[in-house]
Amino acid sequence: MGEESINFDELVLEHKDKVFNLCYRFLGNYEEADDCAQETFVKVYRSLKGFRRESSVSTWIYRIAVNTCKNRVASAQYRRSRNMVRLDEPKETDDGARPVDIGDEKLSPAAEAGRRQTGELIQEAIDSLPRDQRSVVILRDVEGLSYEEVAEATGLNLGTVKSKLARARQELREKLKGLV
Amino acid sequence: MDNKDKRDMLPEDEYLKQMSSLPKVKAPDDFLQKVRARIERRPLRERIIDALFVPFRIKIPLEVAAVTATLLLVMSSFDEIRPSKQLASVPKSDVEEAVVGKADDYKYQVYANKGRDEEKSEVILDKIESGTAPAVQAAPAATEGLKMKKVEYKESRLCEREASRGFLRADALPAIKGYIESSQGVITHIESDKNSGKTLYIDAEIPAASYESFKKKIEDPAVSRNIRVEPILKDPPQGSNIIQIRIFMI
Repeated sequence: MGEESINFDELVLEHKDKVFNLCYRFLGNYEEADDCAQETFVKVYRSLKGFRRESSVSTWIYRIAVNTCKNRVASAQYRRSRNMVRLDEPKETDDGARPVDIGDEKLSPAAEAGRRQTGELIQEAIDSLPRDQRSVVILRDVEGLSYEEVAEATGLNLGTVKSKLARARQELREKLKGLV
Repeated sequence: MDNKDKRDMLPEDEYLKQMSSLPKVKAPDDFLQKVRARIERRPLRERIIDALFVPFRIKIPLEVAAVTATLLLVMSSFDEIRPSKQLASVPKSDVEEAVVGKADDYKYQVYANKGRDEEKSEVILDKIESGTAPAVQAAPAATEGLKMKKVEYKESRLCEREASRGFLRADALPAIKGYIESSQGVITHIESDKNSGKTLYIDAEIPAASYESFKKKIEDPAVSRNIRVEPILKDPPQGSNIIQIRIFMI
């Protein structure tokens, strides 16, 4: 691969968790998120030469990830898989079942169970959002990107980002009222 | 977890707190290896396209050259197997050059077809020497059934044959003339040897429908063993109803 592979490997190692988390929150499924995240970095690899550094690398990778997730949500295959897979289905490994998210060692088992349930409820609420609202709320409220970075990653202008974010938050707050 | 008033919307600060504290889902440990494998495992379609066309600056010209060479080969083969449409013919210029400039050594005839439409035709013959008759070609099939139509002929279509050596007997001329007239034909020319005055041959025109019977009569051994009748032209034009013949001694 040459010199590009060194930079590319560094990119992957530096951004894989952020991208994976974004994909998971967008798609709500671990397997789909894994596939989508891999696809994102394949696109990053192929587009690396054409990257003109008009935005930060992180924002650029986020943008590719968001578009990949949107395309995946629109695909028929994804819709079929969503009807079959539960959000809380663990990813199995050779060592046994493994929880989808990271547990907090400081919490008691009951609290951990409660936290996990809250996360599932929130994820279900996020899944119910339209794609554009979903992407802005994940990037802003989950990943912590600035409004400008969200605008670059989604390709929307700043005003649209804020309006979509406001509507998304309102919907989530209504859906989550009394549940969390 | 405390229950909240369901009539209220989740407070924004609580909402933001909940959202930011969502557990972070990490990528698997072998994520980089899987990405690399995926990059190398490109779709078959893309690999075929790359194998055929990439790099463009090298492969496209080569492929264009290969297609062009194949087309040329096919076209050249097609031309070879296609039946030739060219027919052998004596260029008119060759015949004319044989007589140009040596009028003294050549006998040539210019005679008027005073038949139906008084067209003029010109016959340029090969060099005529004493005692020899000009060459004529073998007769083609009879053109019976053709309409009565005057046709002009060209020098390049002159028949050629080994020259005859005989003279037509003077007492045979009236009989020959009678045969011609009885076949509704006309004598167009009588060629004689310039030294002896003896008749070398007679040119005539007779209707195509009468040609066969006329030829049979003239060449009847009872009439003469040595007289022959043949058309002047190798292949008369289609639709012609008159045959120009030459009567000569062999």
